[in-house]
Amino acid sequence: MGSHAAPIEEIGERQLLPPGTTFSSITETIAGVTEKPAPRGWWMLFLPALCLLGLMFVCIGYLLTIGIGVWGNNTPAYWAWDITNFVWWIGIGHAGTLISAILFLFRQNWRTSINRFAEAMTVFAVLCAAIFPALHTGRPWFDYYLFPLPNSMGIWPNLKSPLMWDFFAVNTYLTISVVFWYVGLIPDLATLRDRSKSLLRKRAYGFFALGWRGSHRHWQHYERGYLIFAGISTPLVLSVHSVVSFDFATSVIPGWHTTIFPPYFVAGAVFSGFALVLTLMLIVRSVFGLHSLVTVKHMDLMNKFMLATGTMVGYAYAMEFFIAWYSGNPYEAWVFFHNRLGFGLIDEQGNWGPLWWSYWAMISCNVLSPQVFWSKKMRTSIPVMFVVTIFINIGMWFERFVIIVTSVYRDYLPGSWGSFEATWVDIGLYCGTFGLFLTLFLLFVRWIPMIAIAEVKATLPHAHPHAHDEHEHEHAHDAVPAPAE
Amino acid sequence: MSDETNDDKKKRRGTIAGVGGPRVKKTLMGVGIPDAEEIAADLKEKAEAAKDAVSEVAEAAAEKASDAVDAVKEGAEAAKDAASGAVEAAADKASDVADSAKEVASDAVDSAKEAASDAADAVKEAASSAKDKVAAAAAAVSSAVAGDDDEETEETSADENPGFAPGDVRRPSGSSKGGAYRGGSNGKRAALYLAEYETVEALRDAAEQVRDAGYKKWDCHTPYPVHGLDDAMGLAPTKIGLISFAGGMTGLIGAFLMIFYMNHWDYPINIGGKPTGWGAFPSMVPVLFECTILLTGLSTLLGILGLNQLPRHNHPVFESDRFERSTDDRFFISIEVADKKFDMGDTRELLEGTSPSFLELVEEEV
Repeated sequence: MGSHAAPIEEIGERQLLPPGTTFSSITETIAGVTEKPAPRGWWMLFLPALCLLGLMFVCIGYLLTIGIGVWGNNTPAYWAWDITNFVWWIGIGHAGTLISAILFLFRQNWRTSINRFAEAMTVFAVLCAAIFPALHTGRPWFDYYLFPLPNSMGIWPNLKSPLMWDFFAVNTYLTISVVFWYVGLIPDLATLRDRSKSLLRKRAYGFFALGWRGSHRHWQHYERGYLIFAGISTPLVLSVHSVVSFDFATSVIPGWHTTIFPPYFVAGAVFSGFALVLTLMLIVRSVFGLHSLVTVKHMDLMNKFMLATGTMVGYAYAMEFFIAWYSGNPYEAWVFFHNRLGFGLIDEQGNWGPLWWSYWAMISCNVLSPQVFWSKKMRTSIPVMFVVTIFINIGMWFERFVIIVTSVYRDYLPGSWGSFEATWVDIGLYCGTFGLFLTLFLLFVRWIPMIAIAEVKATLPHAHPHAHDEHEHEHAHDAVPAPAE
Repeated sequence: MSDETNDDKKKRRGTIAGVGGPRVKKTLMGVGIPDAEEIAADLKEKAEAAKDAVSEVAEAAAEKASDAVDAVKEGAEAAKDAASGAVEAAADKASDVADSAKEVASDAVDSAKEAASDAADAVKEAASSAKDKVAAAAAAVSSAVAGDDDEETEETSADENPGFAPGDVRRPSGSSKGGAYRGGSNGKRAALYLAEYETVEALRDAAEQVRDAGYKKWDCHTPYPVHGLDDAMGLAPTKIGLISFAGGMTGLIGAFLMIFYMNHWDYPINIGGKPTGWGAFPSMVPVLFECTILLTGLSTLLGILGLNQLPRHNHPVFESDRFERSTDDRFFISIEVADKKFDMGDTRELLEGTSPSFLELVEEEV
């Protein structure tokens, strides 16, 4: 995968991986994580994650028992934290597909150190996202109505509704992400199988490795298939958040009814996804000691991505304001200048829009904080990037909250104005989905090769026959015997 | 199989191995009958058909040939001391003259005469009385080469040499589990030659030589996809794109029919007076798109698995311990015994000429 292109030394390009990296050192580093006992740091993350997961089940159980009135959603904010969380989690997932598909098409070899990791995040984030609309239907046990199944009412879902588009987009996204992820995993699972010391491991990894034997006849179909996956995932990832944004843009709510939404949502999704990938990567890298495979150079590149997408998002914010003013639509202007900006327009009592702080939290986290990445020193400083990525994640959550709640809490008719207060179930469920995400994620890093072993190997300078820089490998002892038939 | 006694097994295997049965496909590959080779390519599924056909013949011939089977055994015993080259000679001889199934049958029987002349006559009778010519030929050839195969495996086990020195042919010791098997005392037969290389350049150069020698059933095994091997192996471009495309088009058309059927023909939903048929086309686009992607992805997955014939958890190449490094840092070439051009001597010579870091004859359990 990833065609090998030698770095152009004249313009300062260098090899991604440190000199002396060999095929077997890559195998050893990555596969070793799944073979050694879990480091203490892993347990320190895993136990809190399990607690949060428990909180999620408590909240869901309570909600199912009492009803969705336990959420703070009510007139006029029928959509609030649930949809905010849904959009936020879906957006998180987009970085995974972007890294695995779009950067693959652009032959960005540096993606190989982070793509597996980001793809796993995509799958888990989409699972977390799906919980919210599933519960928001009110009677989740009837959610199968969403599927176009024949039923006793003789009626079908309205497939021209944006909510059904969303259903199809998210399900397709989840399915394709899982398949793409798994296809990429097959050769690496074979590596784990062949290194297994115990029969149980050998059988378990061997089962999922499907009998992969590194055959070049297989690689030929596999590589082309992988390219096709990348090719279809690229428009897919662009479509998913576009479709999510249609949930808003096809309505006639001021603040939602905007043509800029699809690209704006996609850029925001990539922005937040990269931020979370980096946050988690920094933690995992230090817990498992992967410094030689995920280098500061990788992070530098990711920070550049965040700077670019953060600036795009900033442009979208500015453009929305410009259109709110330029359109001359008083309702649109009200949403932007009163509900969001706060002081731009004030109500009859002379008050600012009460949720002004959420807008300013969004601006400072999303637009201002990534600006530090203009400086190379900041881009390569691990504490700085850790803090900034967390700010970005917070900011992107606020962005969705701002879009959803501040558009509806004070709209056309002052008589129907209201506000929104989150309840403990809102907060608990959001925190709980972190538990689900982190639990799955930590199990993933523990048991599945978290870096694409085969893909990283293919980026080494001596990986392909036209290079002549050969390394001598020390002879490893013979591996354990094949399993008895 | 578990409720069979060892005697039953012996009996069954003896009968099958002597006249036809599971070994037929393998030996057919060994001497390379073009049609039968295709049949045998898919080890299990396709063999079932052949097996059924052959076992009919086998059953018909079983009674007549039971003496013959014993004779084959005796012949094999007698030939124990024969040089291992006997296999190659027999296979060579057979492959050279094997132009048609008929010819192969008679030739192979001829070549088997030394080992089991009485048996060969009996089997020949059975073969000529068979309805299906290919199946009959298979049975006969099988008896011929199986007899020789036995010589090889027995000789091998007698000459245990677990050495790992580069260039050595490794001969695995007999497995005690194979005791119930007829044939070699370890119940194994040669499956492929496996050559190991330390660098990708060596692999590429070796692949070019194997390609130029005209082999078809051979492969390179690498820990990651190596560029340039397609040419070095002489592989035709993959067809997986067509499968994906067909899947995508199915998704597109299927989704279109689904939306039209559900929301226009079966139960038109009137929302705000908006059109439900062609006029609603723009609002169908997202679902059409998603279904196209979904089916493209799923068909690509099936295409990868189907074209690669995976999952396949059992393959002779896994019998080699060295092969475990194929997913780590070593590069391998395997040439299957089933290849038409395969020859114990020539193939080994060819691979030795590519200066591998290790070369072994991998055997599979029968």
